[in-house]
Amino acid sequence: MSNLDDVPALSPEAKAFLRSHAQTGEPDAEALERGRSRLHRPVYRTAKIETRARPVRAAPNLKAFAAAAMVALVAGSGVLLLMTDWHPSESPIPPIIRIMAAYDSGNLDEALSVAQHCYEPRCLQLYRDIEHARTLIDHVEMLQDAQLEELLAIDSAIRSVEGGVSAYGPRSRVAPPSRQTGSEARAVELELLIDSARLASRRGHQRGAVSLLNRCLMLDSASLACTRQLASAYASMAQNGDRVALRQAREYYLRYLRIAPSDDPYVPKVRNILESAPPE
Amino acid sequence: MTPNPPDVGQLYEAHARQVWRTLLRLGVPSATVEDAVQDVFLTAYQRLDGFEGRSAHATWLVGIAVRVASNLRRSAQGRPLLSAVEKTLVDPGAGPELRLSRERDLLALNRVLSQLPDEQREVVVLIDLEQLTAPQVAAVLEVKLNTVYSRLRLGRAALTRALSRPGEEQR
Repeated sequence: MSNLDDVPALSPEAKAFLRSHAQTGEPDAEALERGRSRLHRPVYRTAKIETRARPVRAAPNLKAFAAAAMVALVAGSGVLLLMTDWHPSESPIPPIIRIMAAYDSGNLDEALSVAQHCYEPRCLQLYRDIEHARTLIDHVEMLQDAQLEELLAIDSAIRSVEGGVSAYGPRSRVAPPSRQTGSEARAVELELLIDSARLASRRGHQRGAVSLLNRCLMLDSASLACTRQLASAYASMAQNGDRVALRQAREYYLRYLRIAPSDDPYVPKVRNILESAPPE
Repeated sequence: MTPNPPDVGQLYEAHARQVWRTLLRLGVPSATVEDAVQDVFLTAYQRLDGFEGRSAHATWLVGIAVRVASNLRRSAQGRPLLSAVEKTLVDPGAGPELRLSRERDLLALNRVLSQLPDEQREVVVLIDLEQLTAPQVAAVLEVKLNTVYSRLRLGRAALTRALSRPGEEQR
Protein backbone atom coordinates (compact mmCIF):
# COMPACT_ATOMS: atom_id res chain seq x y z
CA MET A 1 0.00 0.00 0.00
CA SER A 2 1.83 3.03 -1.21
CA ASN A 3 -0.63 5.88 -1.31
CA LEU A 4 -3.86 7.18 0.08
CA ASP A 5 -5.81 6.00 -2.97
CA ASP A 6 -5.21 2.42 -1.87
CA VAL A 7 -6.93 3.09 1.44
CA PRO A 8 -10.70 2.53 1.31
CA ALA A 9 -12.64 5.72 1.79
CA LEU A 10 -14.65 6.20 4.94
CA SER A 11 -18.06 4.58 4.85
CA PRO A 12 -20.95 7.04 4.59
CA GLU A 13 -22.01 6.40 8.18
CA ALA A 14 -18.44 6.85 9.44
CA LYS A 15 -18.12 10.03 7.44
CA ALA A 16 -21.40 11.34 8.83
CA PHE A 17 -20.43 10.35 12.35
CA LEU A 18 -17.05 12.10 12.17
CA ARG A 19 -18.60 15.16 10.55
CA SER A 20 -21.11 15.38 13.39
CA HIS A 21 -18.16 15.40 15.81
CA ALA A 22 -16.12 18.02 14.01
CA GLN A 23 -16.39 20.32 17.02
CA THR A 24 -16.34 17.72 19.77
CA GLY A 25 -13.60 18.32 22.28
CA GLU A 26 -13.31 22.04 21.54
CA PRO A 27 -12.45 23.99 24.68
CA ASP A 28 -14.53 27.04 25.50
CA ALA A 29 -13.11 30.51 26.02
CA GLU A 30 -12.88 30.16 29.80
CA ALA A 31 -11.05 26.86 29.59
CA LEU A 32 -8.57 28.43 27.20
CA GLU A 33 -8.15 31.36 29.55
CA ARG A 34 -7.42 29.02 32.44
CA GLY A 35 -4.84 27.25 30.31
CA ARG A 36 -3.31 30.59 29.33
CA SER A 37 -2.97 31.72 32.92
CA ARG A 38 -1.51 28.36 33.94
CA LEU A 39 1.08 28.67 31.23
CA HIS A 40 2.57 31.54 33.19
CA ARG A 41 2.50 29.51 36.40
CA PRO A 42 4.08 26.31 35.15
CA VAL A 43 4.52 24.74 38.56
CA TYR A 44 0.85 24.80 39.39
CA ARG A 45 -1.12 21.67 38.60
CA THR A 46 -4.79 21.05 39.22
CA ALA A 47 -4.64 17.30 39.04
CA LYS A 48 -1.94 14.71 39.14
CA ILE A 49 -1.16 12.86 35.97
CA GLU A 50 1.42 10.52 37.34
CA THR A 51 1.40 8.62 40.54
CA ARG A 52 3.58 10.44 42.98
CA ALA A 53 6.57 8.60 44.32
CA ARG A 54 5.80 6.92 47.59
CA PRO A 55 8.26 6.84 50.46
CA VAL A 56 10.01 3.53 50.49
CA ARG A 57 9.45 1.85 53.76
CA ALA A 58 12.23 -0.44 54.78
CA ALA A 59 11.32 -3.49 56.80
CA PRO A 60 11.91 -2.65 60.46
CA ASN A 61 14.87 -4.29 62.06
CA LEU A 62 13.01 -5.34 65.17
CA LYS A 63 16.00 -6.78 67.02
CA ALA A 64 18.06 -3.63 66.62
CA PHE A 65 15.06 -1.51 67.50
CA ALA A 66 14.36 -3.52 70.65
CA ALA A 67 18.01 -3.38 71.73
CA ALA A 68 18.20 0.39 71.17
CA ALA A 69 14.93 0.91 73.01
CA MET A 70 16.13 -1.10 76.00
CA VAL A 71 19.38 0.84 76.20
CA ALA A 72 17.56 4.16 75.95
CA LEU A 73 14.99 3.10 78.51
CA VAL A 74 17.53 1.94 81.05
CA ALA A 75 19.78 4.94 80.56
CA GLY A 76 16.89 7.40 80.57
CA SER A 77 15.30 5.89 83.67
CA GLY A 78 18.60 5.92 85.52
CA VAL A 79 19.24 9.55 84.71
CA LEU A 80 15.71 10.51 85.72
CA LEU A 81 15.90 8.67 89.01
CA LEU A 82 19.27 10.16 89.82
CA MET A 83 18.57 13.74 88.81
CA THR A 84 14.96 14.32 89.76
CA ASP A 85 12.02 12.79 91.40
CA TRP A 86 9.95 13.41 88.25
CA HIS A 87 7.99 10.64 86.74
CA PRO A 88 5.66 10.84 83.83
CA SER A 89 2.14 11.70 84.87
CA GLU A 90 0.65 11.35 81.42
CA SER A 91 1.31 8.81 78.76
CA PRO A 92 2.06 10.25 75.32
CA ILE A 93 -0.77 10.22 72.79
CA PRO A 94 -0.85 6.72 71.33
CA PRO A 95 0.22 6.60 67.71
CA ILE A 96 -3.04 5.01 66.61
CA ILE A 97 -4.95 8.05 67.85
CA ARG A 98 -2.52 10.40 66.12
CA ILE A 99 -2.83 8.43 62.90
CA MET A 100 -6.60 8.51 63.05
CA ALA A 101 -6.66 12.22 63.88
CA ALA A 102 -4.43 12.99 60.92
CA TYR A 103 -6.46 10.72 58.64
CA ASP A 104 -9.72 12.30 59.74
CA SER A 105 -8.40 15.79 59.17
CA GLY A 106 -7.45 14.79 55.64
CA ASN A 107 -3.71 14.98 56.28
CA LEU A 108 -2.79 11.61 54.86
CA ASP A 109 0.92 12.45 54.69
CA GLU A 110 0.98 13.07 58.42
CA ALA A 111 -1.01 9.88 59.06
CA LEU A 112 1.49 7.91 57.00
CA SER A 113 4.43 9.58 58.69
CA VAL A 114 3.19 8.60 62.15
CA ALA A 115 2.31 5.09 61.02
CA GLN A 116 5.75 4.72 59.52
CA HIS A 117 7.34 5.14 62.93
CA CYS A 118 4.99 2.88 64.81
CA TYR A 119 5.70 -0.81 64.82
CA GLU A 120 2.50 -2.22 66.17
CA PRO A 121 0.83 -4.65 63.79
CA ARG A 122 -2.19 -2.34 63.61
CA CYS A 123 0.05 0.55 62.57
CA LEU A 124 1.60 -1.53 59.83
CA GLN A 125 -1.84 -2.46 58.53
CA LEU A 126 -2.99 1.14 58.83
CA TYR A 127 0.04 2.31 56.91
CA ARG A 128 -0.73 -0.06 54.06
CA ASP A 129 -4.41 0.82 54.02
CA ILE A 130 -3.92 4.59 54.19
CA GLU A 131 -1.28 4.45 51.50
CA HIS A 132 -3.61 2.44 49.29
CA ALA A 133 -6.49 4.80 50.05
CA ARG A 134 -4.30 7.77 49.16
CA THR A 135 -3.41 6.26 45.80
CA LEU A 136 -7.07 5.62 45.07
CA ILE A 137 -8.13 9.09 46.22
CA ASP A 138 -5.43 10.71 44.10
CA HIS A 139 -6.98 9.06 41.05
CA VAL A 140 -10.56 8.97 42.20
CA GLU A 141 -11.92 10.48 39.02
CA MET A 142 -10.49 7.59 37.02
CA LEU A 143 -11.75 4.75 39.20
CA GLN A 144 -14.31 2.24 38.12
CA ASP A 145 -17.19 1.20 40.31
CA ALA A 146 -15.42 -1.80 41.81
CA GLN A 147 -12.46 0.39 42.76
CA LEU A 148 -14.77 2.98 44.31
CA GLU A 149 -16.33 0.22 46.37
CA GLU A 150 -12.87 -0.90 47.39
CA LEU A 151 -11.99 2.66 48.44
CA LEU A 152 -15.12 2.94 50.57
CA ALA A 153 -14.38 -0.44 52.14
CA ILE A 154 -10.83 0.61 53.00
CA ASP A 155 -12.03 3.90 54.42
CA SER A 156 -14.60 2.09 56.50
CA ALA A 157 -11.94 -0.34 57.78
CA ILE A 158 -9.56 2.47 58.68
CA ARG A 159 -12.24 4.45 60.46
CA SER A 160 -13.48 1.51 62.45
CA VAL A 161 -10.14 1.45 64.29
CA GLU A 162 -11.14 4.71 65.92
CA GLY A 163 -13.97 3.09 67.85
CA GLY A 164 -11.70 0.36 69.09
CA VAL A 165 -13.26 -2.23 66.84
CA SER A 166 -10.76 -4.38 65.10
CA ALA A 167 -11.04 -3.75 61.40
CA TYR A 168 -8.50 -6.31 60.50
CA GLY A 169 -10.28 -9.55 60.46
CA PRO A 170 -10.70 -11.04 57.04
CA ARG A 171 -12.09 -8.19 55.01
CA SER A 172 -15.39 -9.01 53.45
CA ARG A 173 -15.25 -8.78 49.74
CA VAL A 174 -17.75 -6.71 47.86
CA ALA A 175 -20.70 -8.88 47.04
CA PRO A 176 -21.07 -9.75 43.39
CA PRO A 177 -23.75 -7.70 41.71
CA SER A 178 -27.11 -9.34 42.07
CA ARG A 179 -29.72 -9.24 39.39
CA GLN A 180 -31.08 -5.74 39.60
CA THR A 181 -33.56 -3.84 37.59
CA GLY A 182 -32.27 -0.84 35.65
CA SER A 183 -33.50 1.68 38.18
CA GLU A 184 -32.13 -0.31 41.12
CA ALA A 185 -28.73 -0.57 39.49
CA ARG A 186 -28.79 3.15 38.82
CA ALA A 187 -29.71 3.92 42.41
CA VAL A 188 -26.81 1.75 43.63
CA GLU A 189 -24.43 3.48 41.26
CA LEU A 190 -25.65 6.91 42.34
CA GLU A 191 -25.15 6.04 45.98
CA LEU A 192 -21.68 4.72 45.28
CA LEU A 193 -20.70 7.88 43.43
CA ILE A 194 -22.11 10.16 46.11
CA ASP A 195 -20.38 8.26 48.94
CA SER A 196 -17.08 8.24 47.07
CA ALA A 197 -17.38 11.92 46.27
CA ARG A 198 -18.08 12.70 49.90
CA LEU A 199 -14.98 10.74 50.87
CA ALA A 200 -12.80 12.46 48.26
CA SER A 201 -14.14 15.83 49.36
CA ARG A 202 -13.46 15.09 53.03
CA ARG A 203 -9.89 14.19 52.13
CA GLY A 204 -9.42 17.47 50.31
CA HIS A 205 -9.58 16.13 46.75
CA GLN A 206 -12.34 18.44 45.53
CA ARG A 207 -11.60 18.00 41.85
CA GLY A 208 -12.04 14.26 42.19
CA ALA A 209 -15.30 14.84 44.02
CA VAL A 210 -16.49 17.18 41.27
CA SER A 211 -15.64 14.59 38.70
CA LEU A 212 -17.58 11.83 40.47
CA LEU A 213 -20.57 14.07 41.04
CA ASN A 214 -20.69 15.00 37.41
CA ARG A 215 -20.78 11.31 36.60
CA CYS A 216 -23.62 11.15 39.06
CA LEU A 217 -25.47 13.92 37.21
CA MET A 218 -24.97 12.14 33.93
CA LEU A 219 -26.83 9.18 35.40
CA ASP A 220 -29.56 11.34 36.85
CA SER A 221 -29.53 14.99 35.94
CA ALA A 222 -32.32 15.69 38.44
CA SER A 223 -30.60 14.10 41.41
CA LEU A 224 -30.90 16.44 44.37
CA ALA A 225 -28.10 14.82 46.34
CA CYS A 226 -25.65 14.99 43.44
CA THR A 227 -26.52 18.61 42.69
CA ARG A 228 -26.15 19.68 46.31
CA GLN A 229 -22.92 17.80 46.82
CA LEU A 230 -21.50 19.20 43.60
CA ALA A 231 -22.35 22.73 44.68
CA SER A 232 -20.70 21.99 47.99
CA ALA A 233 -17.53 20.64 46.35
CA TYR A 234 -17.28 23.75 44.19
CA ALA A 235 -17.87 25.88 47.27
CA SER A 236 -14.91 24.16 48.97
CA MET A 237 -12.77 24.89 45.94
CA ALA A 238 -13.94 28.50 46.04
CA GLN A 239 -12.55 28.87 49.55
CA ASN A 240 -9.10 29.00 47.99
CA GLY A 241 -10.09 32.05 45.97
CA ASP A 242 -11.11 30.14 42.86
CA ARG A 243 -13.64 32.50 41.28
CA VAL A 244 -14.73 30.06 38.59
CA ALA A 245 -15.51 27.51 41.30
CA LEU A 246 -17.45 30.17 43.20
CA ARG A 247 -19.59 30.82 40.16
CA GLN A 248 -20.12 27.09 39.65
CA ALA A 249 -21.09 26.65 43.29
CA ARG A 250 -23.64 29.42 42.96
CA GLU A 251 -25.05 27.92 39.74
CA TYR A 252 -25.47 24.48 41.24
CA TYR A 253 -27.01 25.81 44.43
CA LEU A 254 -29.49 27.82 42.32
CA ARG A 255 -30.16 24.75 40.23
CA TYR A 256 -30.80 22.85 43.44
CA LEU A 257 -33.39 25.41 44.49
CA ARG A 258 -35.05 25.12 41.09
CA ILE A 259 -35.42 21.34 41.19
CA ALA A 260 -35.94 20.69 44.90
CA PRO A 261 -39.50 20.40 46.23
CA SER A 262 -40.47 23.26 48.50
CA ASP A 263 -40.54 21.04 51.60
CA ASP A 264 -37.03 19.72 51.03
CA PRO A 265 -35.15 20.03 54.34
CA TYR A 266 -32.02 21.42 52.66
CA VAL A 267 -33.75 24.26 50.86
CA PRO A 268 -33.50 26.74 53.76
CA LYS A 269 -29.81 25.86 54.26
CA VAL A 270 -29.06 26.34 50.60
CA ARG A 271 -30.86 29.70 50.64
CA ASN A 272 -28.75 30.73 53.63
CA ILE A 273 -25.55 29.67 51.87
CA LEU A 274 -26.48 31.67 48.78
CA GLU A 275 -27.40 34.73 50.81
CA SER A 276 -24.15 34.65 52.75
CA ALA A 277 -21.95 33.85 49.74
CA PRO A 278 -19.36 36.46 48.81
CA PRO A 279 -20.03 38.43 45.64
CA GLU A 280 -18.36 37.11 42.48
CA MET B 1 15.39 38.57 7.06
CA THR B 2 13.89 35.57 8.90
CA PRO B 3 11.02 36.35 11.22
CA ASN B 4 11.52 35.87 14.94
CA PRO B 5 10.48 32.41 16.12
CA PRO B 6 7.20 32.47 18.06
CA ASP B 7 7.27 32.23 21.82
CA VAL B 8 5.24 29.66 23.65
CA GLY B 9 2.47 32.18 24.39
CA GLN B 10 1.97 32.81 20.69
CA LEU B 11 1.99 29.08 20.04
CA TYR B 12 -0.70 28.68 22.68
CA GLU B 13 -2.87 31.36 21.12
CA ALA B 14 -2.56 29.79 17.70
CA HIS B 15 -2.79 26.10 18.48
CA ALA B 16 -4.29 25.50 21.93
CA ARG B 17 -7.69 24.59 20.52
CA GLN B 18 -6.27 21.91 18.26
CA VAL B 19 -4.02 20.50 20.97
CA TRP B 20 -6.89 20.42 23.44
CA ARG B 21 -9.24 18.73 20.97
CA THR B 22 -6.64 16.20 19.91
CA LEU B 23 -5.84 15.17 23.47
CA LEU B 24 -9.51 14.57 24.27
CA ARG B 25 -10.02 12.65 21.05
CA LEU B 26 -7.04 10.47 21.87
CA GLY B 27 -8.73 9.48 25.12
CA VAL B 28 -7.23 11.85 27.68
CA PRO B 29 -9.89 12.27 30.39
CA SER B 30 -11.53 15.68 30.71
CA ALA B 31 -10.36 15.82 34.31
CA THR B 32 -6.71 15.77 33.29
CA VAL B 33 -6.85 17.45 29.92
CA GLU B 34 -5.83 20.85 31.29
CA ASP B 35 -2.72 19.32 32.81
CA ALA B 36 -2.03 17.48 29.58
CA VAL B 37 -2.36 20.71 27.57
CA GLN B 38 0.03 22.37 29.96
CA ASP B 39 2.45 19.46 29.55
CA VAL B 40 2.33 19.86 25.78
CA PHE B 41 3.15 23.56 25.89
CA LEU B 42 5.79 23.15 28.59
CA THR B 43 7.46 20.51 26.46
CA ALA B 44 7.23 22.86 23.49
CA TYR B 45 8.74 25.63 25.59
CA GLN B 46 11.65 23.40 26.59
CA ARG B 47 12.27 22.27 23.01
CA LEU B 48 11.50 25.45 21.14
CA ASP B 49 15.17 26.31 20.71
CA GLY B 50 15.78 22.95 19.05
CA PHE B 51 12.79 23.23 16.71
CA GLU B 52 14.25 22.97 13.24
CA GLY B 53 11.20 24.00 11.28
CA ARG B 54 11.00 20.76 9.35
CA SER B 55 7.29 20.68 10.03
CA ALA B 56 4.70 23.33 10.79
CA HIS B 57 4.33 24.34 14.41
CA ALA B 58 0.83 22.83 14.45
CA THR B 59 2.12 19.44 13.35
CA TRP B 60 4.98 19.61 15.82
CA LEU B 61 2.61 20.38 18.69
CA VAL B 62 0.22 17.63 17.66
CA GLY B 63 3.20 15.26 17.74
CA ILE B 64 3.95 16.29 21.31
CA ALA B 65 0.26 15.90 22.18
CA VAL B 66 0.22 12.36 20.78
CA ARG B 67 3.19 11.46 23.00
CA VAL B 68 1.68 13.09 26.08
CA ALA B 69 -1.56 11.16 25.51
CA SER B 70 0.41 7.97 25.01
CA ASN B 71 2.33 8.52 28.25
CA LEU B 72 -0.93 9.10 30.07
CA ARG B 73 -2.28 5.85 28.72
CA ARG B 74 0.81 4.04 29.95
CA SER B 75 0.72 5.65 33.39
CA ALA B 76 -2.97 4.80 33.68
CA GLN B 77 -2.47 1.11 32.92
CA GLY B 78 -4.95 -0.88 34.92
CA ARG B 79 -7.23 2.13 35.18
CA PRO B 80 -9.01 2.31 31.87
CA LEU B 81 -8.97 5.82 30.49
CA LEU B 82 -12.18 5.22 28.66
CA SER B 83 -14.33 4.98 31.72
CA ALA B 84 -12.93 8.23 32.96
CA VAL B 85 -13.47 9.86 29.60
CA GLU B 86 -16.96 8.50 29.44
CA LYS B 87 -18.00 9.62 32.81
CA THR B 88 -15.79 12.52 33.77
CA LEU B 89 -17.05 16.04 33.55
CA VAL B 90 -14.68 18.72 34.66
CA ASP B 91 -15.06 21.88 32.70
CA PRO B 92 -16.19 24.55 35.07
CA GLY B 93 -16.21 27.08 32.27
CA ALA B 94 -19.68 26.36 31.01
CA GLY B 95 -23.16 26.11 32.44
CA PRO B 96 -24.39 22.72 33.61
CA GLU B 97 -26.64 22.00 30.62
CA LEU B 98 -24.07 23.01 28.05
CA ARG B 99 -21.40 21.00 29.82
CA LEU B 100 -23.61 17.93 29.90
CA SER B 101 -24.31 18.25 26.21
CA ARG B 102 -20.62 18.66 25.40
CA GLU B 103 -19.65 15.73 27.52
CA ARG B 104 -22.32 13.58 25.95
CA ASP B 105 -20.84 14.37 22.55
CA LEU B 106 -17.39 13.51 23.82
CA LEU B 107 -18.72 10.36 25.38
CA ALA B 108 -20.35 9.28 22.12
CA LEU B 109 -17.18 9.94 20.15
CA ASN B 110 -14.94 8.19 22.62
CA ARG B 111 -17.20 5.18 22.91
CA VAL B 112 -16.64 4.52 19.24
CA LEU B 113 -12.98 5.54 19.03
CA SER B 114 -12.06 3.48 22.08
CA GLN B 115 -12.93 0.35 20.14
CA LEU B 116 -9.97 1.00 17.87
CA PRO B 117 -6.49 -0.10 18.90
CA ASP B 118 -4.43 2.90 20.02
CA GLU B 119 -2.24 2.99 16.92
CA GLN B 120 -5.22 2.97 14.57
CA ARG B 121 -7.08 5.46 16.71
CA GLU B 122 -4.19 7.91 16.50
CA VAL B 123 -4.13 7.73 12.71
CA VAL B 124 -7.90 8.01 12.30
CA VAL B 125 -8.07 10.96 14.70
CA LEU B 126 -5.22 12.80 13.02
CA ILE B 127 -6.27 12.20 9.42
CA ASP B 128 -10.05 11.90 9.50
CA LEU B 129 -10.78 14.32 12.32
CA GLU B 130 -7.82 16.70 12.51
CA GLN B 131 -7.33 16.69 8.73
CA LEU B 132 -3.58 16.13 8.78
CA THR B 133 -2.05 14.56 5.69
CA ALA B 134 -0.58 11.06 5.76
CA PRO B 135 3.02 12.34 5.39
CA GLN B 136 2.43 14.74 8.30
CA VAL B 137 1.11 11.87 10.40
CA ALA B 138 4.09 9.72 9.45
CA ALA B 139 6.35 12.53 10.70
CA VAL B 140 4.33 13.01 13.89
CA LEU B 141 4.31 9.32 14.75
CA GLU B 142 7.82 8.72 13.42
CA VAL B 143 6.69 5.76 11.32
CA LYS B 144 6.89 4.94 7.63
CA LEU B 145 4.25 6.33 5.32
CA ASN B 146 3.09 2.83 4.41
CA THR B 147 2.53 2.09 8.07
CA VAL B 148 0.25 5.13 8.28
CA TYR B 149 -1.76 3.93 5.28
CA SER B 150 -2.00 0.45 6.72
CA ARG B 151 -3.18 1.71 10.11
CA LEU B 152 -5.64 4.05 8.42
CA ARG B 153 -7.10 1.20 6.38
CA LEU B 154 -7.50 -0.99 9.46
CA GLY B 155 -8.72 1.92 11.57
CA ARG B 156 -11.40 2.96 9.10
CA ALA B 157 -12.62 -0.62 8.84
CA ALA B 158 -12.74 -0.88 12.63
CA LEU B 159 -14.58 2.44 12.83
CA THR B 160 -17.21 1.24 10.36
CA ARG B 161 -17.60 -2.00 12.31
CA ALA B 162 -17.95 -0.10 15.57
CA LEU B 163 -20.63 2.15 14.11
CA SER B 164 -22.54 -0.72 12.59
CA ARG B 165 -23.22 -2.20 16.01
CA PRO B 166 -26.81 -1.26 16.77
CA GLY B 167 -27.20 1.80 18.98
CA GLU B 168 -23.46 2.20 19.39
CA GLU B 169 -23.19 5.89 18.75
CA GLN B 170 -26.40 6.74 20.55
CA ARG B 171 -25.40 5.25 23.85
